[in-house]
Amino acid sequence: MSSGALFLAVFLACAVEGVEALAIVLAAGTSRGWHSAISGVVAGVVVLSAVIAVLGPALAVLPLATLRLFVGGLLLTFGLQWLCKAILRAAGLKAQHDEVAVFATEVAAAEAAAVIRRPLVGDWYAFTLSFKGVVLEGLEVALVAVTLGANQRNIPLAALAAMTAVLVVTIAGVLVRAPLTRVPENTMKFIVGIMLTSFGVYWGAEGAGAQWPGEDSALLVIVPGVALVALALTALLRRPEARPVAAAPVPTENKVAS
Amino acid sequence: MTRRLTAFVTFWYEFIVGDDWLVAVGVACALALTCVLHVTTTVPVWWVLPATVLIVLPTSLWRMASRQLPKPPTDATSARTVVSVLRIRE
Repeated sequence: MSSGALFLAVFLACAVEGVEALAIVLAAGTSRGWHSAISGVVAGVVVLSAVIAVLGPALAVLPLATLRLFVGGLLLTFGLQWLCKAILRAAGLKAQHDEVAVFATEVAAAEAAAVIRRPLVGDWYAFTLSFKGVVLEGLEVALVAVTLGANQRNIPLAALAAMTAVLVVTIAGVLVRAPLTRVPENTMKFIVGIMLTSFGVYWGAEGAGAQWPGEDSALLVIVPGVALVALALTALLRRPEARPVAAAPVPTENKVAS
Repeated sequence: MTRRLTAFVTFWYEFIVGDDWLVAVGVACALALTCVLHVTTTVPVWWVLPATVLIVLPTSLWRMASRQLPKPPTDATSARTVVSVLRIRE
């Protein structure tokens, strides 16, 4: 995989999850106060950094075939799940992810919650809301970034892509001070799903012992092939009378990432 | 302790397996089949995972779509709806 594709896949995955985390942090900050909300973000980033710091070197020492088998399986599983949801949303069978609805739900829940103080934390609810938002939204993309980077033996580039995405989303959030509703989340998830599925197929098969016809250039067939299948399935599922399903309020607890 | 362990296992199960266990099981079986075919035969085995995607993706979509679509009300569900509406009005 070229460095460009690695950068793009990690950047898009991190950006789309960053937009979702931003809505939760904004809700915590605007309704409860910024000090505890930002403390939660910092704690979440520390946890994610620790996961990356431990997992990255651990993956780097694995033999390449084992690494590709593990990475391929993980990416293929994640990729197919992302793709399924993106296809269902594109076909109008699943509610579009609505950042405004997420924001409103989180604000309503935050305003109703009581203030509980803990050591070093002025508002435990705001802290945990931000912390969970960052960790739950970030864990999957952290794993994706580390595994993609480790497989290409280029973790620094994957980390750079992830940091760039987080920086872009953070700056946009600070400037707009509202959920980023104009980001085409479903399209981005569709693209990320196609890329994760394609690289999962390629590396998983290589790790299991397969040899691709044309070696690396097989990806030039796999990626468009997966995209065509996904688009065809979207067209098949989209009913003529179907309208996009309205977004439902997202429950605060047990929220499924992506 | 047991509750925390259960929560930990549940979190990772939901995180990796996700909404449809069929995807994770399909991927694991396909990788295992590729390994077995590679070791025991001389035929090319690169086609196993693409074929798996062609089978698993539509199947999982169909399963998830059938969960998303509203089911026609049965007598039992209609009765439950009426009861719950009456309770709300009370």
